Amino acid sequence: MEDHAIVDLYFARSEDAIGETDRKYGAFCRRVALNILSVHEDAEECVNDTWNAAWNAMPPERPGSLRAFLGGITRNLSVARWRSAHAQKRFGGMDILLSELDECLPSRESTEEVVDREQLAETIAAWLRSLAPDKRVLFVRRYWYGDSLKTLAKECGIGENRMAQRMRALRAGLKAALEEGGFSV
Amino acid sequence: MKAIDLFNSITALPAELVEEAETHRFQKKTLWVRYAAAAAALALVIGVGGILSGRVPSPMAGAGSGGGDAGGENGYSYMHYVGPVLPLTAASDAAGVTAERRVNYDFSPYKTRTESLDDGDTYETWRSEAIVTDDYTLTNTTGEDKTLTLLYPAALTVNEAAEQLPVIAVNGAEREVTLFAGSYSGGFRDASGGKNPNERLNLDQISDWEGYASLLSDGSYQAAAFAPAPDLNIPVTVYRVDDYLVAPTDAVNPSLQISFHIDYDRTTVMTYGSNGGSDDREGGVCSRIVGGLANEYRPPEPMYFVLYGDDIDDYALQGYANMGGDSGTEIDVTATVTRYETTLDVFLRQIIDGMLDGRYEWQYGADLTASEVPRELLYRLAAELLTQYSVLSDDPYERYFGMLEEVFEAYSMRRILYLSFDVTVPAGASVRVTATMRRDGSYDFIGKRKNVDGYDLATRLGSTLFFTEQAASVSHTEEITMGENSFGFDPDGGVTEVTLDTAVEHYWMQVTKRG
Repeated sequence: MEDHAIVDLYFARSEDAIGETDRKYGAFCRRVALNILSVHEDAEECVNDTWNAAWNAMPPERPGSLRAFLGGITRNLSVARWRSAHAQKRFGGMDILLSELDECLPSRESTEEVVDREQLAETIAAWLRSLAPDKRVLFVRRYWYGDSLKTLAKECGIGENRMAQRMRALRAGLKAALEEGGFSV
Repeated sequence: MKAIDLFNSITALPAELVEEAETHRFQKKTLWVRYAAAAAALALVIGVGGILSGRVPSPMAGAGSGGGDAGGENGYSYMHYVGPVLPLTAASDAAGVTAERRVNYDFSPYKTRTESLDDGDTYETWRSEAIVTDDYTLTNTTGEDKTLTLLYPAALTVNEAAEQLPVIAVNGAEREVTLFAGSYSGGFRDASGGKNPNERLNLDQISDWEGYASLLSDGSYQAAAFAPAPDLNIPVTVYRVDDYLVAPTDAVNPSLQISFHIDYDRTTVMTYGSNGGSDDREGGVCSRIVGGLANEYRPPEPMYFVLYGDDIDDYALQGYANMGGDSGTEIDVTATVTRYETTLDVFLRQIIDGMLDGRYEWQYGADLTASEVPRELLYRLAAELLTQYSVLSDDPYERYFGMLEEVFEAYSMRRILYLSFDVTVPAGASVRVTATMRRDGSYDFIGKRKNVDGYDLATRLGSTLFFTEQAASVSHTEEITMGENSFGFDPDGGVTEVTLDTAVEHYWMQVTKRG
C-alpha cells in the first residue's frame, strides 16, 4: 500500500492503519530498534509503542516520508528504553554506537553546553550532502539505521576491518565539520 | 555536547537522507574469484571462463516457511534450498532402452585458496559447492535404432544458469542443447508470519525435497514448459519522459512527478524507470515520480508510462525537492514528454535487450549479461510473470504493481530448466550421456546448521527412463567432513562409493568444510 494511503487510514481513524503500517514498515522499525537495544523483546515493545505513537500523532501530522517519521519515533523510543536498561546495567548496541560517536565530539567543548539539536542536525546534513553517495549512505546506515559493520562490509564487498577504517575516516570528517560549524568552542 | 546529543541530532536528519540510505546500492568491490585447479577444465567446457562468485544468500529465499526444519528420512529443509540433482528423462518413447546411472560429487571447490583484491589485499576463500558428474549409459535392447529426445532437468534460477547450467556430452563430445524453462517453482506467502494467509506479498520458494516431489509428481509442470508463450502483441500507448532540466537548487534529491486522470477499470498502467508514485483509484488520479535528477554519478534514465486501454487526455508535471512530492517542496523541473504507440511485446523486448546489453549492470549486476539463456526464453519468462502474477493477470498478486522492472525478478525465481537434445542409440548398443555441472549446497543463513551444506539426489523423480542400476560416489572428501547422509557414505571409513536403491526416490547428505 502506498504511504499516502496508509496515512489516509490514520486520518480516517481506521484500525487497518496499524496493520498496514506493520506490514510495510514493521521489519524496518524492528531492525532500527534491535540495532540500538540488541534485545528482541525490548525491540518488539518499542515497535508496538511506535504504532501507538503514530496513531496519536496522525492526525494532525501528515509526514512526507513515513519511513523517516516512523523510524525517528522508533529511534527515540529505543533510546529512552536504552537509558532505562543502561541504568539497570543492561547494555545494547547503543553503547557501541555512542562510543563510536564519542570520537566525533570536538575536543575542547564543555559537556555542559546546551546543544541546538536542529542546528547540529543541519550541520551534519550539510556535511553528509558534501560526501559521495556511498560515503553518505554508509554513515546514515551505521548511525541512523544502526546497521552493523559486518552487514555494511558484506554489502560493500569488503572486510570488516576495512569497513571499520572507513567509518573511522567518516567520523574524523564529521568531527572536522562540527568544528568548522562552530561546535568546538 | 555528549555523544547522545549527536545521536539525537542524527535522528533528526532530513527524511530524504534516510530514504536514500534505504534504497542505495553500494558500488561493490567484486569478490568474484578465478580458480584454477580442478574446476578449470569444467569451467572451460561450459564456456564461462571459470569465473565463480561468492556465496551470497538470496534475500528472497530466506525465512521461507519451514526453512531449517528437520525432515526425517527425507533429509532436511533449508532456508536456501537449491533442489535435488534430477535424473535424465525422455520426451519421446524410450521403450526398450535401459539406463545405468552413476553420479559423482567432487568436493574439491571446498579447498581454501588465497586470493588478491585489486588493491593488493589478500583474503582466503573457498566455494561451498560440488562439481557433479551425472553419467548415464543408455542401452538399446531392441533390434532397431532408437532416436530419443532427451531432457536433462536442472533446478536453477536463470541468473545461476550462466555459471551452473549443466554441460551435456554424448560419448564424450559436448552436445548443443535447446533450453526450455518451467514456470516459477515456488509459491507466495504473506509478509506477517502467516497472519494473512491469502496475502501474496513475499516469495515462498521450495525449501525441501517434498516440494520438488510434489511439483513433478504428475508431469504437468514439465508439459507446461513446452507450451506456447503468452502473447503480448497487444497495443499500448507509451509516454516517454526524459531530458530532465532542474533549476539550480540545494535539494539533494530533486524529482519530477507526472500526474494524469485515468479510469482504472478501463486502463492498466505500467511504468518503467519511475521510482514510486500513487494510485487514487476512486478519484481516478495516477501519479508517478522519478528522483535522482541531480545525481552526478548516474544520469537519470527516461521514465516510461505504458498504457493498456484508454489513452489519457492530459498530464501535469511538477518538480519536487525530494521524493516525497509534498506541498511546499516544489521546485522548477522541466522535461520532454513524447507519446507513441507500439505493442507491449515490442516494449518489453526493448527493456530486456537494454538490460542484457549491460545498460543496467549497475543495478542488476552482470550475471544476466553473461547468461547462457537465449533472449527468446528471457522474453517468455518476463511475459509469464506479467500475465501470471502482475497487472496483466486476471488476479494480480499484491507483490506486483505494474513497474516493468518487476519482470527481472523472473530471473531470480527458482525453476526447472530443461536441456533438450536428441540421441540415437543403435540397436543392441549403448550410448553414454554425461551431464557435468557446478552445484551449490543448500544451507541455512542462521541457526545451528548454518555452516552445513546439503546435497540432494532424486533417483527417478519425473523420469520416464527404465533404470537398471544407480550408483553414487564422492571425491576430494579431504576438504569436507561428511555429516548425516542417507547414501551411506563414510569417507573416513573408506566408503566413498555406494549402490543406490532405485525404489528409494530421494538421497541426501550434509557436509561441512573441514577444519
